[in-house]
Amino acid sequence: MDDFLPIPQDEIASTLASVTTQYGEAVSTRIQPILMANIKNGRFETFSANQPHALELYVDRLVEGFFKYHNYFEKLQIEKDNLIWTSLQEKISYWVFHIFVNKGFDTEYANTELVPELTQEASIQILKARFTYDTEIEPWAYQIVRATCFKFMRSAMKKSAIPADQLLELDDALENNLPDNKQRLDDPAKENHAALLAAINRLSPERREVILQKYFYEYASEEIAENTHKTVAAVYSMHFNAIENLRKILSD
Amino acid sequence: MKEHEFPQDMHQLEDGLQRLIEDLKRLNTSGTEILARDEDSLSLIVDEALKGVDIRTRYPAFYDHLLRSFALRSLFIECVQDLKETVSAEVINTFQVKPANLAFLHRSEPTQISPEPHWKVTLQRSAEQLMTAFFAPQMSMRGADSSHEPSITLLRSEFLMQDTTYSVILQGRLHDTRDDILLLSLNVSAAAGKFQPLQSSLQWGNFKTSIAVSHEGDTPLPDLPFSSVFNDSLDEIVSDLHLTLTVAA
Repeated sequence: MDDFLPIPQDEIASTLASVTTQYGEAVSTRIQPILMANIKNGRFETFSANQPHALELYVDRLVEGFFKYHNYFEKLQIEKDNLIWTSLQEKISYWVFHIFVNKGFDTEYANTELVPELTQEASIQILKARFTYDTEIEPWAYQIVRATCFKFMRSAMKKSAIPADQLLELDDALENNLPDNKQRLDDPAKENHAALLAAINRLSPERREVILQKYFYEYASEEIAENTHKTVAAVYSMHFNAIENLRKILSD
Repeated sequence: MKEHEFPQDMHQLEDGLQRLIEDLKRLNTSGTEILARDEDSLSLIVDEALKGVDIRTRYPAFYDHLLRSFALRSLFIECVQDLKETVSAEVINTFQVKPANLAFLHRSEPTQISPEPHWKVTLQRSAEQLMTAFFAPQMSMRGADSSHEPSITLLRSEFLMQDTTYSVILQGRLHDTRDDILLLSLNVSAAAGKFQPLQSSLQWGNFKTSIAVSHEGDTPLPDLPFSSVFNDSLDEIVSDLHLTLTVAA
């Protein structure tokens, strides 16, 4: 199973051969292990999403990422350049702070205790990690920082575990308040479109606007962000919140 | 901001409702499962979202997982927000910027980057390139001893693997008395960095061999029968050559 690849070896070989032709063997030999690792961890499969010429497009993306970032990573991980690390650590410490404050931690405690410790820990993880070259640095590094923070939170929560009997009661209470999955919309044929239109009209104006633009006018999230003067992140958030709202309205 | 109303066109309205119903059907408000592959791919998807790619249309499978897992959805939104969202002045003001602590960079123990499970390099030459090497007007001469048959450089390359730059030359030499085989040798050396033993695997037509390269310099390979790579009339190479080198465990 370890050697199972979702694409034939000869397709990989011919794609890498075209990299060799275009950029030289030195680049091709650097790209190969990155590609193989990304195929094995599923990133390529996610990227491909049944796109035609997916491997070619993905390798182009890796090559682009390689040219953009391999010097940076040489400095970061091999030379351990102080200037680069100083700049990155500022970002890491801010992310650590933001993650904990968003989870309801006290800002003073986050600043004095958590940020110094977890910035160090996340930096060590980034120093040791392999960059995937199919993304910008920030989303990749942020995932590592976030995983480090959540590992810390899980370990801290284990130390203050709630007694098992109380946990059971709490779980039961939560279970009773969750929407029943059986209430989900199972049969679109029976759906009353008028009820759905009415439910859309009960959304907040901003969420209603996102739903209309997304589903009825088929705008991409970036276009909706431009139209509504919001960030793309806010549009995704409003979109998912809006359909959760709709489901709740229709279930009531 | 221009506000939109429901489309007047009935088809457009029906299509929109249908798309929305599909999403509502898949929406799960309590799913806590996140597939390992989705977690591994999250930075790629977040990167795409930040670049304005529409995840619903470009990554339908991942979008489906977003709808079906509340946990993945929350994680995705948090990541996009933390990386892009404008942070309120109140939060910025409470963040205390401290001098970077780079002590971890200079600890005595060396940093070990965990090796890739399959850290290998595959070099290849097409049949056309090999034909050129074989039938070049002047084949490269190895050494000054003219009693030897001339050697043919089948492949020459340099590559970086685990902080070492390796130089590789695969050569063939005609046999002194037999005309149906080629004597092969593989020369590997570390051009920069520390040499580590390698496992070589050569595939050329029907010829396959795997041999350990435990030291720098020449390593002889088994003899190659011409019939395994040439056509029946032995005047054209019909197979590409693939040489794979792996760092020995």
